[in-house]
Order: sequence, then C-alpha cells, then structure tokens
Amino acid sequence: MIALRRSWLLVLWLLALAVVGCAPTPEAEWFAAAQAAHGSADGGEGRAALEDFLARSVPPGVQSDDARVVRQDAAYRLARLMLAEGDSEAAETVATSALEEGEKEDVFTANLYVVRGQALEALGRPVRATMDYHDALLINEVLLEAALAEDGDEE
Amino acid sequence: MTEDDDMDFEPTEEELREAAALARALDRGSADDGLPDDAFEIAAMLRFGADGGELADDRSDAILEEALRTARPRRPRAEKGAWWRWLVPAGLVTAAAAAALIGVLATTGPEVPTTAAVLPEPSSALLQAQAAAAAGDDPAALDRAMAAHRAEVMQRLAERYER
Repeated sequence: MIALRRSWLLVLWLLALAVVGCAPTPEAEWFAAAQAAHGSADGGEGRAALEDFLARSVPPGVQSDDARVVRQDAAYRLARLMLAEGDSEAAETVATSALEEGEKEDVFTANLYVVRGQALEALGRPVRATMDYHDALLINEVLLEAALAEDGDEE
Repeated sequence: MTEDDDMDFEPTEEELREAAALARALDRGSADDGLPDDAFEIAAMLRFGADGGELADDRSDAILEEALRTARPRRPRAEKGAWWRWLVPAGLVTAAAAAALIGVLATTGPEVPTTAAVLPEPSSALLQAQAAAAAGDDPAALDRAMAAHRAEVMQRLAERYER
C-alpha cells in the first residue's frame, strides 16, 4: 500500500516535471506575444497591443539583432496605425525610437525611414522627410539589387 | 409383554437417528439438529459428570486436526514482479536526475545565439512596394507585402527559439 502511494507521488512528480519541461521558454513566449500583437493589429485593435508588446523587455536569451528585427517591425506597424489615426507626432517618435535600437541594411530599417518620412511630411517638415525617404531608398536599392540578382540566378 | 419381547422389536429409523445424534453429542459435547432438547441435556450432564467438561488430550488433538483440515486455506499473495520492486528506486533516481538538470539549466540561464538568424530575403515585389512608398505612393501595397514577409520571418525566429 505504501509502495502504491509512493508510486503515485512519483507519477505526480514526473507529471509536474513534464509540465515544466513542456512550458514555453520566455523567448518563445516573447515571439508569440509579437505574433499576437500583429494579429490584433490585423483585427483593427492593434495600437494598444503593439504598444504593450513594445513596452515588454526582451528576454535575455534572444539574440540582439533578432530582437531588433521584431521590435522594429512592430514599431513600423504601430507608427503606420498612428499615422492612419492622424497622430503623426506619435508616429515620428515611435519610428525615431525604433531606429535608435540599431540600423541595418534590411527591410525593417528601411520601413522605419519610410514611415518616419511620412510622419514628418504630415507634420510639415518636408526637408527632413525627404532625407528619410532618401535613406530608405539607399537601403532599398541594395536589397533590390540583391533580390534581382537572385531572381536572375534562378532563371 | 416381557423384556425379551421388548428387545425383539426393531428400532425405528427415528430412534436410530436420535441414538446416533446422542452418541455424537456425548462424544463431541455439541448437539446436532436431530437431537431432542431433553436428550441433549441428559447427554451434557452425563458428559460433564464424567470428566467435568474437560477434553481428553486425544480428543483435543482430533478436534484441532479436524479444524485444520477443514479450515479454508489462505490464498497465497500474488508474487510481485521484479519490475515493481525496482520501480520506486528507479523512479526516484530519474526524478532526482531531472530535478538536477532543471537546477543546472536554471542557474546557467538560456544560451544566447551569437549570430543573428538567417532570415528569408524580401521579395522583389516587397522591395518595389517599399520604393514606391518612399517615392510618395500609397503605402498600402507595402503593408500587404510586409504581411506575407513578416509571417515568414516570425516563423523562422519562432523555430529558432522554441524549446
């Protein structure tokens, strides 16, 4: 009888371990939160969800450039929503803050220059806007050349 | 009718049954159903008067022997397999090893990749939409192209960081 009780305790203990073992890591949870925020944006309730996601700290296990990509994309999406609501100043602030996290020659950094240019244009600052569009096009040119070269290789 | 005449009568079946029951009662000190109450009382008195109710050694042994013979044998306990005896210690060792592993993982923290993930390249359609938006066109096309690219990027990153 005692052995039976012990074995049940053991089974419960192993089940608890299995639950702990199957639990998502903070990193996986963070990526899931990003996807959920974008999902909310698709449903038209994205601003608060994206703001909440950007307010979250990045788990220490996420490589810094991977985190930058996810955060800059969420910031681009948030700034686009803010612009659509007429909140150009907030859009400019969000885009600037996201660019300060690091700039790379990739589509995410270029998108931030595009949306910040749109915000500056809406705020009546066309010169600054043009400079941002120019920066966006510089990155875009590099990426487009690479993409076209790859397409040519495939043909 | 003389005493001899009386002896000539054959006993009835009932008399024979009562006689046998009386004999058993005298012998064992317990009555069967077939023994009339008065006969049993007489038998009990006769028996008690003879030995004070004490059982003789040989009779005591016989009763014990009969009791042992008629007692229902105890059902033997099912033999437990060897696996059962080893289950508890083996389980405890497994649990201890798992707990130690979790402890080690908890103290060392997650392993951070040293390089950025290799992400899917943006399509030329996406880049053309981006260039158009930078040139002042409607950014809706860029948003649509980004939705597809974003899904691929998030999928790649989620796979990288899943347990």
